[in-house]
Amino acid sequence: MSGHQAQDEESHRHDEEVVALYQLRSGAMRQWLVRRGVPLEAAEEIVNDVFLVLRRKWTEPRIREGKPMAYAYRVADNLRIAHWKGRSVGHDRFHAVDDLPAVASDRDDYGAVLDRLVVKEAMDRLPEGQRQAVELRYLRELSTAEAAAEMGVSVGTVRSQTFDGLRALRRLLDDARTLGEEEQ
Amino acid sequence: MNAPDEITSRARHVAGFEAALQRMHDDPAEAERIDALIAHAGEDAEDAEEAADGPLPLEPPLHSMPLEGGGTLSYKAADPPGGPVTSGRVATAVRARPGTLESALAPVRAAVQTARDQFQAAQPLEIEIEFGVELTGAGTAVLVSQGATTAHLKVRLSWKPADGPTDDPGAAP
Repeated sequence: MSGHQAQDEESHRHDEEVVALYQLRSGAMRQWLVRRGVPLEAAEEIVNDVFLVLRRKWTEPRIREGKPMAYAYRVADNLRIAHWKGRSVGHDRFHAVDDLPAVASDRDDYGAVLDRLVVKEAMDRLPEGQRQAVELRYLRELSTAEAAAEMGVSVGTVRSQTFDGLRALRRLLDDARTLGEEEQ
Repeated sequence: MNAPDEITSRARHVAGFEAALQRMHDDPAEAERIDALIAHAGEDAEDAEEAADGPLPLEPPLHSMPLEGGGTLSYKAADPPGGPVTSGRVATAVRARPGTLESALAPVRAAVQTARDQFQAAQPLEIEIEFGVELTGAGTAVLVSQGATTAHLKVRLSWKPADGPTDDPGAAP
């Protein structure tokens, strides 16, 4: 295999991992932003940018093997604040916060529950080791080393189980979306 | 909304992200934009990695509000800021509110008095009202249900008409 091919393959693998992570966590992040008063459309843009940032940083093992979602949420929070700073002061929509939380949380919790159901169903269909690896790494946000200690396996096994799990999850969630489109 | 709607909405988001990802790979200008975001919004984000045992990124920002008798109340609220950021780095700044805690609580007190007046018309033997108060990031106070986990103050008030109004603030952080 040439150097170029190896590079392409690695880049493709990183794309796959980040897209799978997007499928797993972007819904919750979007709701997280909306609950903090970010309009839905802006929240969608911020989430996309956060995961693009994550993909850019995915080549760095300390992000990839560490706690990528902790990093992602920190970036999301900074982009959220930048979004606020970019708004004109006195914008009605953003200052009418007194009654916003209750309204927003009811609606978003409902969406978040549905979102979790779809992800949970896909997670339940993963082989046990892969499910555990994905859950520890990306839902409980343990680093690769911490997940290895928790599972009682090597770091290498966590890496391969996580990668296989993310790839399988992506396929399962892709199937779910195809099904959803057919039913429309 | 039903489940297929939700799935289609997910599909739209994922397709949108995949397209954005492809654009970032193909278009150097887009890659530059993301690198600028990293420089701007990712600068202190990596601290989160170094301080792995530190506060979670979901930790709400700290706000502060002056008290009429002097001193400052600091509290955490998860909603958006509405006042000036006074100091510190963007992710950890303490946001000072212009109003006092007393002025923030005034509408809550008015609402509770209205409720009490309404119920007193029915001449009950006793009125007891329990509620929670949540302080918002905008420096206002809102009434929430007594059991709400977001409440900063839990309050129980009771009135016995024979004794005149007796308050049992029972306030606890």
